[in-house]
Amino acid sequence: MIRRIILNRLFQMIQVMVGISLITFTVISLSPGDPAEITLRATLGTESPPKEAVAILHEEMGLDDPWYVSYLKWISRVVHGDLGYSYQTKRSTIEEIRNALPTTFYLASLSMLFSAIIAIPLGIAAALRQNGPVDHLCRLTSIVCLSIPEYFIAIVFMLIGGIYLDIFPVAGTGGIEYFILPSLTLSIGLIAITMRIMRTSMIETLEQDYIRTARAKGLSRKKIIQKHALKNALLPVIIYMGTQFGWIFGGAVTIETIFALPGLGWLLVSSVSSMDIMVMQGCMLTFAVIIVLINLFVDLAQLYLDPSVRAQGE
Amino acid sequence: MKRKEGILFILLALVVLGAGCTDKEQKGDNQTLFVSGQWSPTSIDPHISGTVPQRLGYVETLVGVDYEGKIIPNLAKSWEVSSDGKKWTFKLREGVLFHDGTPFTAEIMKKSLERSFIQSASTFGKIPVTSIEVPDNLTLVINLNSTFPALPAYLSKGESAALAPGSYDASGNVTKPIGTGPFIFESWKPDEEIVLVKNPNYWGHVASVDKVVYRVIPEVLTRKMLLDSKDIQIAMILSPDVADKYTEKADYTVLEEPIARVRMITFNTEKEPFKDKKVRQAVNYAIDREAIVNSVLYGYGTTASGLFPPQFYWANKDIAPYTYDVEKAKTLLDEAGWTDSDGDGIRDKNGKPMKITLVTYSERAELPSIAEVIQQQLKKVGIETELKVLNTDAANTQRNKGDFDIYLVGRGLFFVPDPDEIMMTDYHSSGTSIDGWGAYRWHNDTVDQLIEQARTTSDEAARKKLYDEVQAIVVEEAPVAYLNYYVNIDVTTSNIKGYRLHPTEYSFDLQNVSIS
Repeated sequence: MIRRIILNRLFQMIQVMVGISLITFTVISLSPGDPAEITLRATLGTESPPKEAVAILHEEMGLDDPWYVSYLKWISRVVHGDLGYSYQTKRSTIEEIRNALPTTFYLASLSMLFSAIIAIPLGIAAALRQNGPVDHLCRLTSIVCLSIPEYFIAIVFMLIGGIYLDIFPVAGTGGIEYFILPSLTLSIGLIAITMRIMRTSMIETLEQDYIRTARAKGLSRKKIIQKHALKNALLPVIIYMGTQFGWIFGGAVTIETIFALPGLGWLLVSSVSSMDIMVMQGCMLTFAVIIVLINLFVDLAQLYLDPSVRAQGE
Repeated sequence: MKRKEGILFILLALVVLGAGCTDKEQKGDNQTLFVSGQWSPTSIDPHISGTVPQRLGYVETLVGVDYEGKIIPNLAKSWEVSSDGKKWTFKLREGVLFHDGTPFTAEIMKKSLERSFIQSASTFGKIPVTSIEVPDNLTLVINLNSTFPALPAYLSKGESAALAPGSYDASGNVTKPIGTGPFIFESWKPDEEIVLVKNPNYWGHVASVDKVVYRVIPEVLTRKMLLDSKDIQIAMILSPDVADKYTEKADYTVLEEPIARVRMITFNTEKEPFKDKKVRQAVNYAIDREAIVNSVLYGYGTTASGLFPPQFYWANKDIAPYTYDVEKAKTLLDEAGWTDSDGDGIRDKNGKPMKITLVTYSERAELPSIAEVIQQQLKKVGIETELKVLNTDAANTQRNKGDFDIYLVGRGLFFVPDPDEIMMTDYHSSGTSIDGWGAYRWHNDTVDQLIEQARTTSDEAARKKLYDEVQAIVVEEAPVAYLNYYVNIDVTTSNIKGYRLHPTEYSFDLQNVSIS
């Protein structure tokens, strides 16, 4: 059963990777302008790079082939583990991604942690006193959090945490302290929804028969929630948060640029703006792999946590 | 479980608070200068990515650029060119030491230059070099196979910097750039920061600060925040709206400097209505340049009269700017035969209304707004303008197909700090017939001759005279209309002294900066 899921997902991963890279290649070939010229414009900092240089790079990038030929060439290299190199930095794509990935992974993990720590207790509190003050406050906060763009939240956090309170660095990288504000920013959207799901799930669980039985046995309310309700109510929350891990990676694209964290999002943005094709493809592939792997992980976790799914599979 | 959660929470809070407090001890140490800009070198190798190393001052080139945009001696004390223009002899400065103590010699410079020409072929590929010779320790000869007057200008680019042999590892890659500049390279974290220490044995003015930390921050607002929290003392390239907030504050200084980049419009001189010089001049008169600077650029910009900003040596300072004169514009249009015969407010000629297309791009955020202002201003003289805002490449493609009437562009002038490059690509008919960055498909025999003559003239003053004449003709014939010059705005905390913006962004000259 588990093996089937894993194989299935790995097969899916290959499909997704081929699809994503195909789309990226098509978009590059459809976008106006000569990638060689755009690359040089970024490298040299001039609108009209020397014609001779453009011609040389044009050749080097293999731009004279039709896009499907260059795509097939690229695929055959990827199969051999060669993702090409950056036309900007001259470093290999793999090296670029290896340098950037830890930052983004760290950022995303910390955001998940913040979301869990903040959203789960609040969601439970809201469920236990439906329509009470906490519930109303949470509902309001959710709506507000979801409607403000991340970019704005980032600036507000910088102002509060970095300037008025002056306890966190405003931007840049270094120890964990540099990651607090960006992860908080990134977790805001996730908190808003997780809180709501936690609340709904808890309310539903508390209406289940076995809770009534437990109550009839004379268990205290606190015990019932801790021992019986929480584990079941958490399941949809964990699954939701798991699937959102990939989304957080996506959110990193804006946040990393604002907070000057040189992670995968930054790499993607800068490679797109300078038409650094190999790096762009590498980033897209990495995103695809991460998201498929996360889904696989969520499936497995669900299998482990939820007996009913396990039973279905058997 | 609840208790565990509580403990976890408190621990986390402590970590977070504790971590937050450690960072700022450096602040009191006034010997370290923290600066921040958006540029990050793409490689640790200055021969691949030389702009930032040069601006920060850990590498130096044979020639320098002064505050007028003129080429001046640097590692080369002087140079001369043979009468056929193919042999350049550079006399090197004596007594210069690399940061590791190696003496700077012609032999090292030769090796370094040869490597530059290979590593940065895209920059230096144009130079028709055949060989580099070293007749003695302090003389370097560069042989060319054709004349190339812009050679010194090219040798001011950071990618041609002198690097000591100790900069490379066994396979010839740069592991630590060892240069000759006022600062010594200490460390580099890609896309994060570069740390420098002062070079006490510098041949020129020895720096006053002990250490420089250059932080790479791509977002303008983030640089502003870092400045507000005094994490940095110099924030480079702020946008006018952001910089405006500091003008009133006593503990900050706002610095501005026009740079070698002009916002201008290019007319499609191949078709009606801009085939007619009078119509092009009329548009020049119809545009209120002052209003554009004030309304779109928050006053940060200098209205343009000619190609180069007046701070530059190469600018023709005698050019009379087109004044804002609606009546004159109307008269010129009348003379050209464009009159409003049907009374609908739009001029027409032979039954064709004066409807034109303005193409621009959005990568330079202010251009679309400027285009809107121009649209309004042209309406006042009876020209209806349709705006097309595209991305740079789509806009280029459309322009080079001739599918436009007016093209609005922000044009960099000193990719290399010599007028030859821009004159050849933008105003000489060999350039204008290929690409339309400057005077689109425009041909003027006198201008062609003057530019060619300047290519073979080595006397600087004589060259300037020729270029002055070109600039005057271009303004009079009006294949383009210059609107305003870009202004760089840097903000520093008020305890920073001696910081000056360079009009070609050749150097930050941080060796002149002190912290009080």
